[in-house]
Amino acid sequence: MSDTRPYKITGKTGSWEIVIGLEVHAQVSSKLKLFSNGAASFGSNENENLDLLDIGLPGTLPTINSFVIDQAIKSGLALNAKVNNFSIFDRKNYFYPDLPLGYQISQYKEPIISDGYIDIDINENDSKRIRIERLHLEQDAGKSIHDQSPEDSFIDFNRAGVALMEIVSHPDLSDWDEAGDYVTKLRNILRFANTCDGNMQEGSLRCDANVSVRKPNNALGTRCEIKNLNSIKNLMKAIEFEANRQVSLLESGETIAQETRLFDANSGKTRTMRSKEEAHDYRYFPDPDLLPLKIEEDRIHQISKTLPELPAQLKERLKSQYNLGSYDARVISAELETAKYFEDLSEGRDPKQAANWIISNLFGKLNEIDKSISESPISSKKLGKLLDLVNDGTISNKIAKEVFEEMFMSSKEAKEIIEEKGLKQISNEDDIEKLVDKIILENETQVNQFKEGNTKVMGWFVGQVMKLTKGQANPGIVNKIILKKLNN
Amino acid sequence: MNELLKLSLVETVKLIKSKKVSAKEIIETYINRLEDTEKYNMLSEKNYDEALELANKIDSKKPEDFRPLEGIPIAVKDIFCTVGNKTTASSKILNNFFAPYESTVTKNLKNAGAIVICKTNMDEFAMGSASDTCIKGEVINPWTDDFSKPLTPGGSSGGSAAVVAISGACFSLGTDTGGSIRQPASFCGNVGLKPTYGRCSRYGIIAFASSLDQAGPISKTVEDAAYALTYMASWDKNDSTSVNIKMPDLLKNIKEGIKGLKVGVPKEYIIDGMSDEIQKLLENGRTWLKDQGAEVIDISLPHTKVALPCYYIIAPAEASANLARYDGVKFGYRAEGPFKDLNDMYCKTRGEGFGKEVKRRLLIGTYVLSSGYYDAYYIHAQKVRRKIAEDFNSAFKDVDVILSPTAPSDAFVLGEKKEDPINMYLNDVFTVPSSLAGLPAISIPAGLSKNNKPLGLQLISNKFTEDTLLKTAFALEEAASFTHRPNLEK
Amino acid sequence: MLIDKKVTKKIAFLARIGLTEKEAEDFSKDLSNILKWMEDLKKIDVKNVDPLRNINDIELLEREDIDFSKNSDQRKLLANAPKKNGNFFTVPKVIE
Ligand SMILES: [Mg+2]
Ligand SMILES: [Zn+2]
Repeated sequence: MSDTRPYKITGKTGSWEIVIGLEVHAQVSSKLKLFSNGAASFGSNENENLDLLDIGLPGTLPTINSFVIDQAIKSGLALNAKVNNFSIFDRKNYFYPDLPLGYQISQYKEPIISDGYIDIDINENDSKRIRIERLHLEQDAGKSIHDQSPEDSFIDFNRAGVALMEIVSHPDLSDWDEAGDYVTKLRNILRFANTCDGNMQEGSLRCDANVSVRKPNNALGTRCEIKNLNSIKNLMKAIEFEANRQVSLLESGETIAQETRLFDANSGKTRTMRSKEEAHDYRYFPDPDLLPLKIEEDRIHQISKTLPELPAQLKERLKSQYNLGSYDARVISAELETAKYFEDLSEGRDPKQAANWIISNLFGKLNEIDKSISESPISSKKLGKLLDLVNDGTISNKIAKEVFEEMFMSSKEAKEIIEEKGLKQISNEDDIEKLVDKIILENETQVNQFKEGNTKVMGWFVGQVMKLTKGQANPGIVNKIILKKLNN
Repeated sequence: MNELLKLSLVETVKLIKSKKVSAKEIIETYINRLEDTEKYNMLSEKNYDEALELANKIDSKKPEDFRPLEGIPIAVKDIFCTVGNKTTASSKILNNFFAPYESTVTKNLKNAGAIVICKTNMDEFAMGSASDTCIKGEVINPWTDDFSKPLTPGGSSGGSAAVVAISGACFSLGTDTGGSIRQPASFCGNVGLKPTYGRCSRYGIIAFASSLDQAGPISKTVEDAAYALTYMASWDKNDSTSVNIKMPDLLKNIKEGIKGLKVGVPKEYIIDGMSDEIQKLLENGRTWLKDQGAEVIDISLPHTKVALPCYYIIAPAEASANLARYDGVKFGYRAEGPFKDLNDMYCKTRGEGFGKEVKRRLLIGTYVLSSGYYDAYYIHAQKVRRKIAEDFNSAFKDVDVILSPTAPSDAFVLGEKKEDPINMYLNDVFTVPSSLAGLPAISIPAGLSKNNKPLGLQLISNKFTEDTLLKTAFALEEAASFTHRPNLEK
Repeated sequence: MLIDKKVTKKIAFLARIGLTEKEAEDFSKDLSNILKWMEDLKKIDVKNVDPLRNINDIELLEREDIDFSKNSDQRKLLANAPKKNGNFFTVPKVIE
């Protein structure tokens, strides 16, 4: 399982190795916040989802949400990690307007989960293990809004106190593609486990990337941390830019300053946010308002029994239950919605046909309009009806593709479109025979060519029938009748 | 003095229930008393209108519907969030803060029928031993003879102790982090009880040091303290550190005597330079308890000497985080702009909003947690704290209760130690070790100093044995029979 | 002196407490004295001693994630704000 990819950056002085570690913040799916009874839901009006603790009112105290602990345990199990029987909540001290308590309750030295991994696919047959150092629980901060007034920043504490899982990888990632694959896979695992909705636009999943470069086999270089990457695309772009920036600095004889950087999606560049000298001194210490979190083996066992099928298991099942090849199984299992769509579509139909339609037709169209499968204008049920019309001979595969395009635009049912446009396949043998007779009669030259042994001319006859029927004739029947007539 | 004001809490409860006196008359009498004693600067808020309104409601009720504290006027340290009044912790930074919710302890007491008659001044954020850091000025000990040299009531619950000393409430609420109930009780001639850590919910109490803060009553008698604590304490799901261990019946056996009880006197509590009168007081305590049938033995708590420095690492460290929320954003004071930037706003707001002692402790706390010092100070102190707790654990294998003085002196002159923090911190030398160990402790007025000022004796018992503690305190109180009251006609 | 003015100012900035020059000087003295006074503590042998985090060895009580939220009255939560705009708390512009 070694990395077989070539080095991504070759500079003036040769190849460079990139070393990347990721910190992913995943919002826990729960009704209430981590330590308060404020609603954890997204999209409410500003400063509406607040319990007293969420603005840090004097005298308020944190109490822990039991379900959030279960969710962290579940995520840990899904990431092949160890659930720690003993963990501690610490205070991470810093001042920022959207941090209501003046500290974030987080886990520092003793996290709830440690030592997991994700295997990412490098190619058809090879995968690479990315080790996960830890997953810990912590509070989210509120939101500062800077564009509402020239003098002031506005603070909304709705998010403050929502439970996050911070998932920290080892620096096992070697390029931006791997980083993208890792986050995609991590996101899917959490979504399958139902512990995080993975919605990156809404900020349910955010990444920080630690990036450094070195000459192969040299000691680790100085790293920079890029904060708050809110899409996989940006994550990959940011890493690519940052690694190249570091390489060109080093190659021109300069040094890398350890610092925190921000990625500007418009320019595609990273820039300094704060240097090591300005780095925070977080003064972590155990939160005296809380007690150690002790988790019994039995609780872990109970939760492990509720763990749903995960992407890797699903992939294997798709291979064995539906006979899909590795490529199809991988694509179909990559997203929860795709798998669901596939399983609905293949119910009572040929799975291979279902997979083909999804991968080659549906994904292509969805890509054009930049939509996900859950937003597809054609539901699995509708597509199923279209396939049924192919399978019972009402339309040909070719016509089906036309109908599909139309369905995508109009949201009409396949049947409707076929009727409206008169696309129904002509399968009536008498009708086709009449047409064939007519063509044979009018094209003596071609008939003679056939009789002289030029069987290629068959295709010409089929083409003539299709021309006359606007492609609606059943190609199987057409072939059969032409052969019969010509051999007579 | 009005006869009503001479009654204890327990006697007043009975009197109200008998309907011989109306709740309104009780409340009015107490209000008058508070109005007559304004010179001691005890109050941060008066709640007279609401108190009278509540009293009127009570008077229309049948005595069989009376709750255990029906109509009882209480004074509340201004560190408990109470709805309808300001809650300021005596700090400029919270000068205009109205809590939108009620602390669990005051809620419990209100539910039991108690009436909050006033809120009391205290050291800013409970950081002090003299009640000389309040935004409303110093509280003056009612035992003061010479107003040109006013005495401290002790701190930080100085206002609450002073109110009970002048009979301005049937009992009052204090909080004790390192001695802030017991030391002022000692200086004002009251009973001051700090329960086991976790007995009273901290929910709604403005935090100083979370692992140490405990609420408790200040009262005239030991029995009153037992009665008050019974209705203050509760297991509260809003406070993860509150304990779900049933409180023993504190009143049932309180008078049964202490025959055969073992009392330990730690040799480390006889400190260098301790005055003769404090030594004498402790001797008296020994004799009294022996006379009541207890066995008094010498014990050792070897880590006593380092308890104070240990406390002055842990408490400020916790405070430095607890007080970070006062940043001028969500509530409280914000300095006048314009500001260079956000940090300028923070620094000005907190620089102007906090008083000197609070700043001093926030600086200590920040320092001991900062990178490079955390292990040497904070972690080390937490380890020493365990050693201190273990000292007590082994002592309680041999004894039921520990006896010591409450404070190393009587009430001193206000301002005397203000510029000498370490000297001020030494006030808590006898109270801090039990705070660090989370133990219940009580101060009982036990004698007068040569200046005719009250002196208290402290009893400490094992965790969750408030019944044993109060039984012993009751016996000690009987023997000491301290009946002096301050002369307010000066 | 253990703590000079420079260190005091650094600590004060960490704690976001603005100090005058005089205060910085006074606190340097105070902190130095206090830290010196704490030196005794370091003499205590704490080898193999676990730091004491919580004085009572009790279980962390867990709260249910039930389908209601105790969102508090927004007006009450904003009532104490030193500065606000509509339902937002406001602070001097943050530039990052
Ligand atoms: Mg992090
Ligand atoms: Zn984090």
